[in-house]
Amino acid sequence: MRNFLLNALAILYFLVLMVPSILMLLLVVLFMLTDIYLVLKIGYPRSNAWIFMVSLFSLIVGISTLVPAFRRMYRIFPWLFACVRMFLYNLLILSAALWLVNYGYEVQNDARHGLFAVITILLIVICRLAMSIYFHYRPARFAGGDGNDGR
Amino acid sequence: MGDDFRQMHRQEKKPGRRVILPRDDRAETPVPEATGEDSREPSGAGTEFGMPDGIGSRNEAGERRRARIKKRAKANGHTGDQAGEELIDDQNWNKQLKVFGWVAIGIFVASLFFLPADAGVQTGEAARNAIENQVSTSLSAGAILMTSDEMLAAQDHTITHQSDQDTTRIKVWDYAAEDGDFVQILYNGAPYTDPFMIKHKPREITVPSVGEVQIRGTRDGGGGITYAVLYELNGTIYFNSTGEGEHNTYTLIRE
Repeated sequence: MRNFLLNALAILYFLVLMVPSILMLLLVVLFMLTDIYLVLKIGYPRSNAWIFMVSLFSLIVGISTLVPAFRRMYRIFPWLFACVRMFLYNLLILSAALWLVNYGYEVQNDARHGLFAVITILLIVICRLAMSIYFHYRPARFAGGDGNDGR
Repeated sequence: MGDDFRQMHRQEKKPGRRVILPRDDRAETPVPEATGEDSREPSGAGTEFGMPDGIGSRNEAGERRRARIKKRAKANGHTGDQAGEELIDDQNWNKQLKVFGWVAIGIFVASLFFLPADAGVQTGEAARNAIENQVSTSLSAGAILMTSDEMLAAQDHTITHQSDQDTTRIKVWDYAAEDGDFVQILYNGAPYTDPFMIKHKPREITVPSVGEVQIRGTRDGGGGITYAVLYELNGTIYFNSTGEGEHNTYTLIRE
């Protein structure tokens, strides 16, 4: 009975929270990239509200990996852990970039704009490279894989 | 045998790599076959699978996991050695998930500091008076009066003071919706600062204590440019509004 309840809870958590989060993240990444592009193009900051998604997603994912009953979903869907890790790190990088570019463009000054535009682009490029190097040495493996499956 | 396994396990600890010994080397280490008995034995069951006693048997959950793995190994027809590998794999896997989980929670906590501030709207008597008079000495810097931009009348003010300081500080913020309004501070008609975005968090600027300080709207984020300015000279907040390209003048006079 206890197992049944835990399984039901895990399924519910996966369907109600994890699936919509992952689907939303695909859109949020696009929205964030669009926002960064618009800030650089128009010269005025956009809302930092998307950073809310980082909070929400990291909380949902954190709970799913820390609660043993929910952890089963990563066994059932071996690709999920690799997917979630990459999404979260990617989202984190874009959020940092959006926050930085918004901060830079809060004051209308050409020198400041140029500086923050360069820093933002460098941040994205360097962080993405660092992410690639990290996953090269510590592959995002599938459940039960030997480290090469997830590449 | 336990020592041999520890030796193997030590070799696996190279960060990020899981080294499996070549099949030939493993063959040299005699490993008993899985018996497939009911797997709810207490500690010690691990040795059956070539595991050092104690691994994965610290609590009931560990025992249950061990039992599951043992059953799975039996169902798959795996040898004791393979089952041992599965157990290590399972433990590593859970450890990875836990570590990542705490990283995610850490990101959650850190990201809270970067969320747009949602300051509460003041609704008390002081706030109502402030909306009515557009001036307040009882509210503090950063007071929010409205959730959306509602234009108050644009006003100019004369501030008379007795300060002997050459400069004074002002604080400027958006008392309504934080919607991307931009203002610029002018002194005697000349730009004194770059245009900046007004937010709920007050921005502090030092200005001369005598002369005409003007606040010009440079960008309307929607609904009009609404701002409040606190002059430390007289401790008074002026709630004001302006349009794009227009300005309000604050004349500072020393008595």
